[in-house]
Amino acid sequence: MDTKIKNIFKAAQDVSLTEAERAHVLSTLQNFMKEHPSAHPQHSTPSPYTNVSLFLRVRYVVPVTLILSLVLGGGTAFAAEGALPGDTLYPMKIHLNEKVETLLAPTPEARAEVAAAQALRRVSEAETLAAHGRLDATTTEEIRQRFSLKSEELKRQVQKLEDDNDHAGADRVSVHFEQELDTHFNAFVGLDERSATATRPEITTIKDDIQQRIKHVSDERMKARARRIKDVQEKLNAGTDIHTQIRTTSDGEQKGDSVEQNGSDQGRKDGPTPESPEGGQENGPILPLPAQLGL
Amino acid sequence: MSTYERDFIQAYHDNADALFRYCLFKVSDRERAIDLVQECFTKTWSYVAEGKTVDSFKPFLYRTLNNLIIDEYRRKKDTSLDALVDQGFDVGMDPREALLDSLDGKRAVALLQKLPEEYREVIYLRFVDGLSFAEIADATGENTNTLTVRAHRGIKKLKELITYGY
Repeated sequence: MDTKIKNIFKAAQDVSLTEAERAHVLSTLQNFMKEHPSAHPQHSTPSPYTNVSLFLRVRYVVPVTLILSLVLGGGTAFAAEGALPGDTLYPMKIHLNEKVETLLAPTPEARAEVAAAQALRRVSEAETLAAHGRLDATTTEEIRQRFSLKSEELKRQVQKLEDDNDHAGADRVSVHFEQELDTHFNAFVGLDERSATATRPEITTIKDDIQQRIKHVSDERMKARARRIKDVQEKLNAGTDIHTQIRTTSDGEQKGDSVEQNGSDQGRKDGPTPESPEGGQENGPILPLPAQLGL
Repeated sequence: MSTYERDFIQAYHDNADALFRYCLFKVSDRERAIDLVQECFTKTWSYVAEGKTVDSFKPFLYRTLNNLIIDEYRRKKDTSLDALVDQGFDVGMDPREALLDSLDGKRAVALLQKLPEEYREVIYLRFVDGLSFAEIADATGENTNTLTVRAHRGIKKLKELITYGY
């Protein structure tokens, strides 16, 4: 899309409610909600705002809650899904639901996705608490530690994918995680601007943690890509060296390398040929490059 | 506070600005736009307070707001700015300009408002408020294919406005 058009849309997004207007509308809305309480059961709806990782929920969360509901009975496990730090069911969410979620992940990429989802869930919980003015120092520290643990777990899982040469899977999980973190970072910037003075240090702390993790994830991905490029270059260079050896041998200075030759040698003394970028042999088969590289 | 109430308040935090922008774009009156957004949220809460389910708040809120805007147009039909201009009334500087936040935002919104009506809404919802075509279809009741065609033509028209002026 044309840059000018993009700039127009971006500028239009600058139009917004003022802080006072937003607070006034919220206050009016909250009073309305008190006067018109909901008929919904307290835990009937799974919150889309506490389970952010959409690429994971559909595949893994439903089986987890189904299994736990069968074992524990009732909607306890399901109700725990929406629990926040400080809620009665939060320990169940962390120590039971999420453990089962991890165990059910069938592939290395799925395990990485689970770690990513659980890290993002911590951030989402912090966001919800902050939006309702419930983010205190103790809860913040708890969330930070859990977020850090899960992020490091994700890092280990992504490294395993790299080690298993599943670079596409490693990139997929890593990029998704970074994008989701970016979304949360923007949300925290908004919360920071809107928050009361009392909760601002906690919001700023989590916002900074997210920002550092985004940078870390991006750096790790770039390093992994650089290593892959270096590996390929080394292999290509190894191939170049072999071509050089072949050309040196073909000049008749040395014998005894493993190249087989057919037909006339005349082509060897010619200049570069279309068949060989190194200007080497025209006639006769040489061992193909992949075979030379052991691929 | 129940989980549902928390979700609803979160939906307010997530969508209030975008809904306000869209409403201001449509009604060109800041105070009225704020009132309509407030009414949109209270209507939505009334709906769920009756025990009805909302699967996703975002498209539901846009649908509700759209209906309120349509009612607003009908209510103001006889006294609209355009009607006044049609009647020969010289309004001088467009009073909409006085109601917007920043110079850049003002120019941007004014330019988008120059688009033909059939393109304006989809362009605004898709590229300013960031709704997907499926969400816009849900909010407006239009067909997704129709919306994508209109968006494509709207972008072309916007390019013409930038290139040749308006």
